[in-house]
Amino acid sequence: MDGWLRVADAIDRISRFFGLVAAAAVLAVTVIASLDAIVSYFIAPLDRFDQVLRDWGLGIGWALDWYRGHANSVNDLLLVLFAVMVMIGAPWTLKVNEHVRVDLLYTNVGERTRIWIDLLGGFVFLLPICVIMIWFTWPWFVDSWISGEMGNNAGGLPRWPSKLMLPVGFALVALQGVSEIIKCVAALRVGYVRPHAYVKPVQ
Amino acid sequence: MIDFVTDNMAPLMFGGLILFMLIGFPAAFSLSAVGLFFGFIAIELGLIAPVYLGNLTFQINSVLTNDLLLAIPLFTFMGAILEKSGLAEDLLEGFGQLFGTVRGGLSYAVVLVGAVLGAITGTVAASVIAIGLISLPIMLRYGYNVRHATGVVAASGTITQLIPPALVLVVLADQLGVPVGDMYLGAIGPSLVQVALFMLWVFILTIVRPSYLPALPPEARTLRGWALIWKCVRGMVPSLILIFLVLGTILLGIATPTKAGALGVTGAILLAVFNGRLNWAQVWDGMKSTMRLTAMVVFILLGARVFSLIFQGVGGGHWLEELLSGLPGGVVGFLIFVNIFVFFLAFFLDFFEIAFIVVPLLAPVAESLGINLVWFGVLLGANMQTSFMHPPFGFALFYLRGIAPPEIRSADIYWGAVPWLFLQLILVGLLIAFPEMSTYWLDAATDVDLDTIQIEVPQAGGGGGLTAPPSFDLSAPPSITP
Repeated sequence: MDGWLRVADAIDRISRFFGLVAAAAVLAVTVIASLDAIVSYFIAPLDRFDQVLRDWGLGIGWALDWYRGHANSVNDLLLVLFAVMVMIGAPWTLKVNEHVRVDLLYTNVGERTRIWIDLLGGFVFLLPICVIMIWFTWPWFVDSWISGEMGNNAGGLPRWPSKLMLPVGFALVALQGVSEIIKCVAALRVGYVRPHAYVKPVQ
Repeated sequence: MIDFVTDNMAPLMFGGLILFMLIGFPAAFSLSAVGLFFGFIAIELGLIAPVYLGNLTFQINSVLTNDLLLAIPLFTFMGAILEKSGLAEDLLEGFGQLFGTVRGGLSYAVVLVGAVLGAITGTVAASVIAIGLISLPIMLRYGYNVRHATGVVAASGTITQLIPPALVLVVLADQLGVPVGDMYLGAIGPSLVQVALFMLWVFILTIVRPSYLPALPPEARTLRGWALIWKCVRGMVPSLILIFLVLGTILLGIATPTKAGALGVTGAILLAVFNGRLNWAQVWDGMKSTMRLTAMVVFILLGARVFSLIFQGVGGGHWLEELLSGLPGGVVGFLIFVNIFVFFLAFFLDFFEIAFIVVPLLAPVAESLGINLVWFGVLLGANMQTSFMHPPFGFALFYLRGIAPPEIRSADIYWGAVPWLFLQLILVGLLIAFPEMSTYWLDAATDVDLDTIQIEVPQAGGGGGLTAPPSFDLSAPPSITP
């Protein structure tokens, strides 16, 4: 069982790494969306400001020009970061047991029953779903990648990065699901204590 | 047997949903599982074509490319930062000092601060925790009734759910397919009425139970004159700026809810840094919890999309529409049924689960009955507000338990919430009886154009429209000065 638990631990670490990336995406979205809002509203005053700066050799005109041509890229980038946050962050959320449950029964049964729920749920619900989803979404990404599909709006980014997030995210969730299943088996067989008790997520 | 299943696929699927959810496995995965499970049965029975499942990818992709949903992390992040920014402290100290010496003054202050915080942020946690931490100890020290004190704090925290820019309204607008701006306009009236109801209740208590909420002794008032004014200004000015950054930019059409949320976060961070209350560890903490909440919420939505795709495919929409539009009492019967249904559902379903699973099923029925969807959404928002207030899972009570001093019993927190729960239900009733409460602001926004057109026509002919405004202008100022 120790060998299996080491596997689970390794998976947890992979999820943790991607979780950190997803958390970083939160700040990235904040900064980029704020700048987007400010620049798009104040573009005329910024142009005048640019005239002043240019005298000092610090023109920001190139950045403003880039923004004018690529405003849709910024929007697409935000959506990619959103996909990163959700799909890459989901496995870590699963690890810390924060996917919300209907806890009418779950909180009123013993720990052993809960382990069985998580074990069977992992096998019957989580893993098959992830496999089906990967099966559906992977060809979609491949099509998008090969055809070089672009966003609907002029000056947008290619579509494949956000489409790639879908199969990758479901694969990572499936991987974390395996880790959780190992922990459930270990809990049933050798009395392993699962580290994250279920607490209803706060909003 | 097979015929029975084929004929009753939609009701069976609905039953399956309840069964699968009750098991207690994370809802996001149970939802997808019930969808795909019945999807494969439906394909076997020839109810839907196998290619129909190909729509799954489109459904899932449409969730991840939805601009509006990006508001979820931003509003959550803003709440997390605001909680640490010290704004609630400044507001409460100012208002508390201002009203403290009036009977029930601290309660008025708490309701007001709840409303102001609600107009800044879109999530409940920040308000309840901040208000509770500061005002509960003071209220108890000066002899406020325990149940009243905990109740008013929890209730004032949940005002956030209804006052724009509530995240609840954004999510409901998305699910109902109405513009967020309209949803916000529609919620202005009801949230004002709610604040008024809360104030009125405090006022009634000061008359019938004066011992519950005594006036503070004069020596408790440490700030006077300019110091007091400065304290209030320090709370209100940043609040008004933040309200403008988020709500103002949305209502004026300058920014989308997503960008407004981002501006709000930036403003909250600047404020917190300016107050010297923010360090990197707290920001990082906020980022991590925001990420987890976002992943959790959007995964529910992904699961709900899988479920509803199949459910619609097997004719679930028609089934529900026939079932619900046949209710006695027509529109009002439908609304009352829906509200009671949602009220009880909220005892064991999360707000987001209701919004993503139940609302899409109800929306087409409401639309076919000719119900204004903005009003319907605001009504549901007001209704679901109660789910934060009732035992056993009400989040507001949950947070309050987390921060209340240990000598306050959980029973007190639960019982304290009851009168406020009734006030919120009264609001729901009022909203059903008087839709104008919600639609007035919507109509006002559109009527302005109609009026100006109608006025401009006579102006071109005789100028009769000019006489009215001056008389208005002359009468107004004198009535204000004395």
